[in-house]
Amino acid sequence: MRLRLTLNGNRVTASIAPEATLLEVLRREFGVFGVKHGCETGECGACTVLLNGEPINSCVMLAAQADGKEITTIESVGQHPEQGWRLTAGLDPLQQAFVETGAIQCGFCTPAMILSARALLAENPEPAEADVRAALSGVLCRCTGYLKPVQAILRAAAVLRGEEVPPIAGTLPPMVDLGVAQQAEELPGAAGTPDVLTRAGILPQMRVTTEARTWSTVGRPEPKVDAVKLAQGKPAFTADIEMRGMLVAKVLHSPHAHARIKRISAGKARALTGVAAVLTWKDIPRVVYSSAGQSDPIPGPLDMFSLDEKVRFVGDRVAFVAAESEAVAEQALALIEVEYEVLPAILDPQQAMAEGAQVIHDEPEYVPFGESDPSRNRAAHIHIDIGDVEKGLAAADEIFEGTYEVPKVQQASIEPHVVITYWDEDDRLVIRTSTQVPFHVRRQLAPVLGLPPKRIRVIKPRIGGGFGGKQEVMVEDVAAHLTIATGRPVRFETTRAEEFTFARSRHPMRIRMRTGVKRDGTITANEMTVLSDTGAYGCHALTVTGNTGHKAMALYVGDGEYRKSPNIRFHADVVYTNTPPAGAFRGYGVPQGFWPVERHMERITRALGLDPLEFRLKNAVRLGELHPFSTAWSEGREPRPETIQSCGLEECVAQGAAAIGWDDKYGNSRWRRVAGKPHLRRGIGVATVMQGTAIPYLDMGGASLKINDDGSFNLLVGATDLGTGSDTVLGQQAAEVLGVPLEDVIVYSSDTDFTPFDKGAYASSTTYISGAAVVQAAEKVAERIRLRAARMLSEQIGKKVRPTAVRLADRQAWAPDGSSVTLAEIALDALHHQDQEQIMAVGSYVSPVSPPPFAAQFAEVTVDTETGAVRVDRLVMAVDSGVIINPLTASGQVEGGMTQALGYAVCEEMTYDSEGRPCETSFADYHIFQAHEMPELQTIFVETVEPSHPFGVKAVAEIPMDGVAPAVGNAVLDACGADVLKAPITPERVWRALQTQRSGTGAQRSAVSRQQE
Amino acid sequence: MPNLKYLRPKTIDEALEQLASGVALGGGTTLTPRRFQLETVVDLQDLGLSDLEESGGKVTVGAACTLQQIVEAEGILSAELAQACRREAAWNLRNMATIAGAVLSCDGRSPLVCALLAVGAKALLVPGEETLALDDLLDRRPLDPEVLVTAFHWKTKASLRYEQVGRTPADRPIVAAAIGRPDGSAYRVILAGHGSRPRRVHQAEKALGAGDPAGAGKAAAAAYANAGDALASAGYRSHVAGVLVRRLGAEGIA
Repeated sequence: MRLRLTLNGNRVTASIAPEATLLEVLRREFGVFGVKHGCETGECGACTVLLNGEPINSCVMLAAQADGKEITTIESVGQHPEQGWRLTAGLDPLQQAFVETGAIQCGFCTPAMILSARALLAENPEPAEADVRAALSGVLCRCTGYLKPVQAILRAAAVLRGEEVPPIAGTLPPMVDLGVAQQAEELPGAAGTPDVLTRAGILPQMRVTTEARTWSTVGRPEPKVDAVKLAQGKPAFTADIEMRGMLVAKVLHSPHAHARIKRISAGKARALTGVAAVLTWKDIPRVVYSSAGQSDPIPGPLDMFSLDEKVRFVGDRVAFVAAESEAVAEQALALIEVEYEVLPAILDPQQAMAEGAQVIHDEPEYVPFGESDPSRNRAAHIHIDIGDVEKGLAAADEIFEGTYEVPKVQQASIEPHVVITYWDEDDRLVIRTSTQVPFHVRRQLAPVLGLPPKRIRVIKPRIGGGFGGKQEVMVEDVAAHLTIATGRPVRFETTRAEEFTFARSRHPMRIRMRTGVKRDGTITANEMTVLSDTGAYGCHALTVTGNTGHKAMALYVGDGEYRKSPNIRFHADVVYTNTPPAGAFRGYGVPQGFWPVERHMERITRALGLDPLEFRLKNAVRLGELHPFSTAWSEGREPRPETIQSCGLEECVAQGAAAIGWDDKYGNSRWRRVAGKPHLRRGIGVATVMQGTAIPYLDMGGASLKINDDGSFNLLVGATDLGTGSDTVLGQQAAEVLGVPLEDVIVYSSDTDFTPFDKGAYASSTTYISGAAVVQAAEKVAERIRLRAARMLSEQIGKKVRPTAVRLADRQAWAPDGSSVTLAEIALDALHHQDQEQIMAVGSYVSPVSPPPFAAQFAEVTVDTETGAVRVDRLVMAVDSGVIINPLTASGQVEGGMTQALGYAVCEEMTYDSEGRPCETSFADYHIFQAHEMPELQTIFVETVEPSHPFGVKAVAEIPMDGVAPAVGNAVLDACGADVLKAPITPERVWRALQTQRSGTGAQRSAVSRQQE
Repeated sequence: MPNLKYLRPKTIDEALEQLASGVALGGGTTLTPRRFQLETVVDLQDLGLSDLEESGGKVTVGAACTLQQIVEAEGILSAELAQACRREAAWNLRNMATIAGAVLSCDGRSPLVCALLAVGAKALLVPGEETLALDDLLDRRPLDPEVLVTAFHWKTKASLRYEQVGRTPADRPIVAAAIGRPDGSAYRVILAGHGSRPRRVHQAEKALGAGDPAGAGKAAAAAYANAGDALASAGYRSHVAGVLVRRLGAEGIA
């Protein structure tokens, strides 16, 4: 049928199929790629367009419904102000505000947010914060926590009204001072509007180091280098290209949790018009591999095949189809005939290793790692004994035991998994994919595809979020096999339902704690025993669970004599079950560890009548001490001793406590009560946490830097920016060394043909490892620049200038007497005039240490003691991540991380029925926090200088995931005595815990309680 | 594969004819994901069913009115009803989803249908100009193909109180309760959170009529005594149903 629209002011027509959605038509017929696919049921809002000025979700509207109407997309909003000789009106104030405030992280939902904001401001030029949050209610964001987008919209509204707004760029964040009462700040643009919900400013509060204040670029809130393109919705993501002859791939998924494929017949499917290929396990080479994107050798079992004659979870791959359209591909799936021999399924991890349990991995090609034992359904086993736990327990006055549980949850990045593969003109296979690990994809897929790595090129475009879900070689083989089979480009993009049914997730765990404590609060021994469920395949099985111990159990070493010789035990079994495989998820085992550790510590402090902050600090590891696990375990390499060389935990606790008003609220029964609502109780809780920064002796990143004719630089890095802003912070580090503004460093990441190796975006390593490589390259380039500048300045002044005396700043090279030459002059001299050379250098770095960031997470809640309903009112995180390169991107990481962790705390949970079928397959069932239901978020950075990095940085990306759940759990306990041991903290679990508490059957102490002799 | 057939009638008679072999398309928010299972859709947007007005003590909302139209009519409608509408769907979906679509595709967790039942909403059907209580309309699902809902109406002065419990403030409810007084006298008590539709609790209504919110709570608890599923146990739902109805009942009487 014929469709007529007014699209961005232009009358357009297209011939469409009646079943085409408006989203499909906009992207495929009109090339409008700013409209995104994030789900198919209208929940995520990434597909937002304005229909006659109102925001609607184009994925749940048939294009035919829009016939005759006006559609506005992001493509009609603003543009770059300088396009050669053509100057334009520039970005829209909303886009400008989003760029300035750091409101754009991955950018996938940014067009939707900006369009929604435009619709709001058209009706209401002076919105209150609540109005802005309501306007964003239909757009899900997994990166930002919505705070900066809300601030951006209020700021833009003020600008549009002609009001002054305070500058952001070039300013230093507000200093935080203990003892000075925190002033409630108004959001820019919210002045005079009612009901300001958020007291935080755009910039986080920080305690900035003396040295950091001297820098020009590092430490400044620079706008992200990709922000302008993302604000315009430019076609920067994997699926945003068209290729002639491109096929659509689909996967046939198993309906059974555990079965052998007795017979599979694809004849009818292959015969369907429009089908280019159907692949079953019989059609491709049988090569065992691991889908975990990790360095060589993979620290885990090789237990996966692209297609197997066995399926191991509901959703597992059965066959691949490539067809001319999605509709034909779906039809072909239905025509594939499969006969299954259904096998008993293991859904309960506690049954996995039982005597006589059905074996999930009985394939002869299985390659074990470490203590994996597939005959017992054991993917991994860890036992670490530090000191003498039994002796420590014997010395304790009391021993506390508890059993805790954490759920399976999903990364839920708004961009699903998506890959396009094609043969280039050199018959090399190009894999354009939304990945965190492009180099691992190339290496790990090569044997699976029967190609050497040199004939594979992996390109990572912009990524719409990953959070670990894309630290996986999960979809690339599907499209690649089909390109090999057909010779044609193939696109494979998961649906949201497929994300929930066959993509990765966080390992659910059952954890037992046993802790010996003296009455004065000294921890004498601490033991954690874990049963971790890795699902059907062992990707990340060992390393995630190892991290649970390595980081969560490293924080508390005890006090006094125990500091030098802590007693810590960590024991874990990681088992296979017939559920979708778990994998890497931001935090990587550490959020799973801090739920039990911090809940357990809270119960101990209450049982002993101790102060929760003092107890934690009394026993926490300190500056100058040995990381207790550093001699016991490392992720895939031999462990070597590491000393904590920077630690701001004590000040984090002090700053966070001051910010949230801990002293006024903790133990204050008047504050706990809510006037007029006798069933409500307020509570306040804390968790102290640590993470790591990269994996020592393993994680390596490289950088390549060259000068251009105008004195600008190209910086090529293998590091993968998944929306975190790593391109920007790497560029800032280079710019600082070279004495140029950030805009003079053009960052490109990551392409296995052009950029140096980088292990990829995981383990919180990019700013630290890739940053050190960038600094190395920049210093070598700076040296070449100084050499040439010294010669040029000597000629200019008529007096010899030594290269070591030349200073680089403000795009110039300066002699001690104040004379200068510009970098542009130096570049022209180098490239064209004299002793020509390309000034360039490479750097690479691997670290001998993994310096931990530390944080104190605080939470304030209100509990309805009659229903168990919990409202989280406020989250404050005070973080020591070393020196902060960019306060905007770093605080954005904290705000977004706390929001994702908030879901882990109260609402997110992936569950399965008795047949192993997932109960949550859309954002309707699996709720993630929306803009209009957020608590207040506040970030405080307490800077320390980590000596192992040239700028003193540590990681910030994962630590925000660690403390929210236990802090909320502790706040609920504080509010009403409900002791919830199983996350998420649902209303029913709170209610049941209250029942237990009221009936006096809860035990906070173990039965064992010894007196001191 | 046969294409979906898309029809857009201009009159109600035309629509009724086409609905004999097609499925009614309102906003499309629930229908579009199912489009590959359908043969014919009948788009109702041109039938003039999008008017919302108040006259003679009655609010009439056309079947194709969007949920956002209802939210923006807060001057005419009660603030609580507008708020129930906000809870039903976020802004983007409210700009498309129609009241008829929301009602006819609802499950037991719908805040809007819970609220509409509480205010005693009725549906107008054609052909025949039949008026049906919303309760009965829900029981008749799936509707006969030859029947079309054209409007909903309820009394302007109908009062409403609503409360829900969920994992987060904006998540769909585990349990919700609404107490309405459609014409200022008799009570209607509705529970939501479980099953295929929100349900009425007559015993609770009697108790409130007798000035007994505690009794109303007990009746609500009894009504949800078996309301367990994967999301929440029956014991929990039953308890919370009792609490919410008792609270709302006590507020109203106070």
